[in-house]
Order: sequence, then C-alpha cells, then structure tokens
Amino acid sequence: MSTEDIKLVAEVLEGIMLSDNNARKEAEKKFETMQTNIPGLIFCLGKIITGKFQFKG
Amino acid sequence: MKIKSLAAILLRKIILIKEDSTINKHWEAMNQDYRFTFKVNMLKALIAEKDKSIKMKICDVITQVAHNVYESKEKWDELLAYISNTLTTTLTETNLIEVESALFLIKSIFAYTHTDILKGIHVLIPVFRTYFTTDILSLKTKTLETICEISCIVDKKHTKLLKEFVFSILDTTYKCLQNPKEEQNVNYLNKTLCS
Repeated sequence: MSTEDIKLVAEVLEGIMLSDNNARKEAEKKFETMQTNIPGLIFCLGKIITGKFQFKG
Repeated sequence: MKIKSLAAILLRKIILIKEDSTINKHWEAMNQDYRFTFKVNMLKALIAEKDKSIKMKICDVITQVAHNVYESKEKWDELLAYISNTLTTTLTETNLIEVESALFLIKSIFAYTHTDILKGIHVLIPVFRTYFTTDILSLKTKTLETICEISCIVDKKHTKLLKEFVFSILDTTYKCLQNPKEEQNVNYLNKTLCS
C-alpha cells in the first residue's frame, strides 16, 4: 500500500463525516468498495490512527 | 482529529469477533509478523495520543485486538506491561488520561487475562485505594468499573480483597448521581451495576 492509498482512505473518511447527504453517501459507497481489500484497508486505517500520515483534518 | 476517531471506530468494527465465531477472520488471515507489527503500532498510537476521546477509541481497538490475540491462545505481554507500568507510576495531572485508559483496558481484557493480572492484585489494591482518595470523579468511576469487572470473575479469596472498596463504590455512585455534569459516568455506572 502506498501513501496515495492512505490518502485515498483518509479522503473517504473525511467524506463520511460531511454533513452534505449526497457527498456522504458517495463516500460511504467508496468505503464499501474499499472493503473488498480488507488487509489494505486495515493497513491504511492503522496508519491514520498512528498518525504516520498527515491529513487535512 | 475526528478522522482518527472514525478510523479507530471502523478498524475496531473490521476486527470485531462475531457472535458465531471465536476469532475474527481478518485477524486470522494476518501472518505472525503483521500481527506483531500491528500490536506494536497500536500500543505506540495509544501512548502517543493526547486527546482523551481518541485515546479511548484506540483502547477499543486494542481491546478487540486483545480478544483476538487471547482467543488465538497467544500472549500480549507488552500490553500487560504497559498497563502495569502506567498504574504503578505516580498519578499526576499529566498522566491522568493514561491511567484512565489503563483502567479501561484492565476492565475490557480481564476476562482473558485474569490469571496474569491477578498475580499483581496486591499491587493493584493500593493503587485503587489511592485513586478513590482523589477528587477526580472520572478516575473513581473507571476504578469502580474495573473493580466490579474483577469481582464478577474472580474467586471468593480475591473477592474478599476487594471488599474494602464497598464504601468507595457506593460513595462514587452517589456523587455521580448528584452531579448532572457526570451523565456519562452515570451511564457507565448503570451499565456496570446492571451487568
């Protein structure tokens, strides 16, 4: 998994937290798609939690 | 900061053990090296995190990891060492969140680790005593929850050791009910008393 992948997951998480219904639903759909690669998703979420990745939020 | 919380919530859900299984399938699929690195990183994240809300969510992830670890008949000595070191360090304003999260972790993993944790019960008793002498209601509540969880699982011999806390438990319950700002603590207490 690359920094780009982690960035992508971070962006989707930001989208899930948006108040705009359409944008949130779109982000939720993207997250569902990401769940086809659970090992990769676990890696990215772990990186976000450990703060090894700088994100906007 | 919110993104870390959400990441922790989602990660916990992914590695959650479902009712019909003993180990999470995604955890089972990880190789030993990855599991080891994952455990190390989660502990590092817990130690480094300063925000209480995020720290507690990382505790939730660690609890779920611990369930998988112990259900797999593996050990996580570094987690127990972290809890032990945190609780035996002198309580200060700066390490209060660390202490509360360590208490939360004992409560959450005690069912799996009681044999190891009970070896240090004589160290824990004076620690609990100290926490009940403070004016920090959140700390007292976490201590209360931990004691209740321990007393639910241990044998009579160990329950007797905890009897000295009966008054502190009642006093903490009363103080929580008196203080409307401690709604969260009252919720904790309700859950604890009902379980």
